[in-house]
Amino acid sequence: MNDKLLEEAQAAAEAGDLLYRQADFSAKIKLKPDRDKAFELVAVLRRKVVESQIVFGQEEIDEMSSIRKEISAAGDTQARVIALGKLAVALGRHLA
Amino acid sequence: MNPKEPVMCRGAYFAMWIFPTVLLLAGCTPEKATALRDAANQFRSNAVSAVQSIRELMDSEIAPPSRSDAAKTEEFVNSILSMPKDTALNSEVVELASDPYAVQLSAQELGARQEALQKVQKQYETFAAMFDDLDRGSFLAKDKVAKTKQYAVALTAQMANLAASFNQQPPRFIQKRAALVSQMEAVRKEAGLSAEQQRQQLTELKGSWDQLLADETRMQRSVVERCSLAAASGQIVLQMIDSYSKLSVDELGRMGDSILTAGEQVTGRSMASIKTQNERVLGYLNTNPEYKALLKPALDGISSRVAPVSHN
Repeated sequence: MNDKLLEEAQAAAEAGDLLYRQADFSAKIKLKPDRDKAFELVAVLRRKVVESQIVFGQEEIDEMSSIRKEISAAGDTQARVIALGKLAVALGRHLA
Repeated sequence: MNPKEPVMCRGAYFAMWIFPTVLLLAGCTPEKATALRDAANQFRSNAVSAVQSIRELMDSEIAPPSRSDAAKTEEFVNSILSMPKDTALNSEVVELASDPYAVQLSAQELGARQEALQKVQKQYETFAAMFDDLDRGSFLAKDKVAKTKQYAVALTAQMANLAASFNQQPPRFIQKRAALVSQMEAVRKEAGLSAEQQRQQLTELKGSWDQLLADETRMQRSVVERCSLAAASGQIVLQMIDSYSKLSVDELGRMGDSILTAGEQVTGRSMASIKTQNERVLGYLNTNPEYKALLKPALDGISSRVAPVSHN
């Protein structure tokens, strides 16, 4: 996104808001829709600043969730191996 | 050896001595796993705090200055009385007179903003969650840790890039600026004020203006600082992932502890020094061929995902 776009939108919204504030109430009623549009544009462009840096989407989030499950499964396996070992020791002592 | 023992005891010896020994020799103890898990959680926490500050900046940028209830009521009464007598009132007009400076963004934009910020936050939450059970599978999950590297690289770069973006594109408290300029104009044009009164009032407004600029800088600093801190902690997590099998428990633990002091590199520093620290993180990622290669798909994805600005 062009760096200047947001700056220009901010300046335009500020100029519009200044006119709006100096207007009487009847004029404010007429100016309000354009003023709202100017603020909306600033909000859209600011959001685009964030979106322009988002490095990945749902696919990668799903991949990370899969890795989490793999790590968790490895933990379960490791716990089972240790538990089996302890059981074997106990049985070994008992049979000795 | 007792004839009853051999089979059982081989398993027992494996479980009691050999397996833990292999585990220790492989350098993958639960303590190391815990150190990495805690560091990843700190990275998540710093990133979530950065997202929160971005949300605050977005709100502040378009928010009206606060006014007393008395001032609001006075303006409401004056607005209604100023309307031509032949114009009928309706609830929309009364609503506008009650709060003429509120900005109501469209539902579409509010939804898009919420989605963008939640998306960023969820990335860091999902990243940290990968390590939740690592201490239970410290040995068998060793190779899985290596698979997390590409996400650590991308998420660290993302926070560093967000810091750079907000450094380049500072917030502007639009309504607060316009309100002060409007007040200055009113003083300048007010015929009922003496020259001395005008000077005094403009001097006070200048103080408010300086305060406003300081507030804008504080807001920008808060976002850049928190994004940079998150990026710095991401770099440490990345280094820990890279060294997970090589370093001792103590070395990895020390590396993990450094995440708690990473804030010293940015908090309270000048904007120039925060920028330098942030560039150091980006430089670290971009000068390593492996990280650079891991980053490429993520950076290529940005251009395909970001839609051009289209707003009517």
